[in-house]
Amino acid sequence: MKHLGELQSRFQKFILEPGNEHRISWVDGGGRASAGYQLSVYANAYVARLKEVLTNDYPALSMAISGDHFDLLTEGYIRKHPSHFFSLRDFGCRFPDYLSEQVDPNPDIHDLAWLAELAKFEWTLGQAFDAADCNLVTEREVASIPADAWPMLRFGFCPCVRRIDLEWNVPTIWKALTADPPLEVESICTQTHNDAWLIWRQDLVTRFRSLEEDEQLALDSLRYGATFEDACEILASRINLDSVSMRAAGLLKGWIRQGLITEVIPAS
Amino acid sequence: MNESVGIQRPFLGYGLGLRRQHYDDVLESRPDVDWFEIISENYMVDGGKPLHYLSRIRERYPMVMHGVSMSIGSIEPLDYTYLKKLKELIERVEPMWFSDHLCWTGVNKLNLHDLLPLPYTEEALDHVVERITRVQDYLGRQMLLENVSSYISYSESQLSEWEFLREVVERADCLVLLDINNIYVSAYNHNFDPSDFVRAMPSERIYQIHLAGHTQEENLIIDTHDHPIADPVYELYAEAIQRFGRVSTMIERDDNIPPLADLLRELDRVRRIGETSFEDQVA
Repeated sequence: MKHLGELQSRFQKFILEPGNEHRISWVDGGGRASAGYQLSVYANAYVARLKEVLTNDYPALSMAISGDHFDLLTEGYIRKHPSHFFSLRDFGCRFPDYLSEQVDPNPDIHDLAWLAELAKFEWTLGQAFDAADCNLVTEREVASIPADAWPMLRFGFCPCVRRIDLEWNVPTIWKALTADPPLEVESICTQTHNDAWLIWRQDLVTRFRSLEEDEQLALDSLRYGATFEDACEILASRINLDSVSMRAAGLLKGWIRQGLITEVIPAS
Repeated sequence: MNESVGIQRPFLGYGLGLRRQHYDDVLESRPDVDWFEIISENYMVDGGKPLHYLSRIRERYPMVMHGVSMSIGSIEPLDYTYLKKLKELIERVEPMWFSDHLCWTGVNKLNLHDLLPLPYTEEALDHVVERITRVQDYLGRQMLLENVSSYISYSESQLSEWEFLREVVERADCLVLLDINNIYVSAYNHNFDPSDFVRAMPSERIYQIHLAGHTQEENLIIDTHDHPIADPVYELYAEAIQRFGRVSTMIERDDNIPPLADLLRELDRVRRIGETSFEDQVA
């Protein structure tokens, strides 16, 4: 008699590697369908279910390479990275990295170097979608801070705030592919530099926009705990010194209005 | 035979599974649904739309919670990270009750995201009972356990599915979410009489009923939840209500999801059959 653990291991092995087990005597053949067919229902449903999850999590990607190529890539991912998660929400987390590994050796997608970036962009949108809610700082609260406290202020940012750098015009590709009906779009590599993008959620709507270089540097430094004075020094290295105060105030006002800032932390 | 005399189970009426496609419709039209069931894992997130809509709809309707990842029958250790999240969600939602399936979902730290059947053996029985007891102790409340659809049966099984389920719930002192469609599907696939299953159930422990559609294939029925409820399932449901009395009943629809209005019409039929069968029982 086989123990529970052995039965579960065999069953799981059949689902993960269908066709590799020739003797399935542990399945009762008394049902209407053959034992092999009964088991194949589970094996087929496993792949179909996870493909559907990836299609839902990566809608633009599934449009970009619909059909056989998408099926092969998703099945390859499903076989290589079975789920360790209790929620299907997290299953597709390694898909962007998997695509990065696949682009070079796979002749079918060799000329689609932007695929992994598109996947990374879509996954980041998903992370912003259900990140934690926060109480946000208002302009009025910030206006009441005394002038001499400003240099040493630090800021807390909403967990939905994400930053990614892109080599390709992926946001344009994403918008075109998720339009109804989808639009034609050309992939363009920026070649010389990465474009900085901000992704966040405001009023339940996931948003994204590009960042100027000075805003990106100031935002990144503040998110990693720099003071307002540190951020102003970064701005001073990029723009005219006379414009720094105005630029810093303008950026901060924009971030508050866009719902990025949750906390103003005075010097300890 | 009427098994319900003297039973005081809570009766929520007739409900639906809450699906994101219907969030706005539910809030705007306040449909005539007595309660909603949520899939617990869909709301184990930090924030955003899922929790926003959950809170707003919970303010207006009673809710129950239904999980798919407890893997109560697996030989893996219980996942206390999952159970902690479940506990937090229970505290947030304050459901009438929560449920999961009499199944396993994976071993070796993997989750196949499927509801895989157990062999109906003494070993599995002892294993599941001990785990349900630990879960109920950790969460501080009884759970409902649902029978799953199955496409295989194990050579090792020593009991029928209904004997196994009954033994589990009585030994673990938990409650039952009886899925009538799953009984019908498994009865067809494994050549048993679905009425035998219904007749074997401990009436006093049945707190909820699921109804759903399925897909008939050549030699197998697949539990797809993508069609309206089939007529033979309604017949089995009527038989169950005549036996057990009123039980909180809902429709599960997970794929090919129609407009809310279509599900409400289907729910009206469920309500009529439920109430008529109950009156037949009383008479």
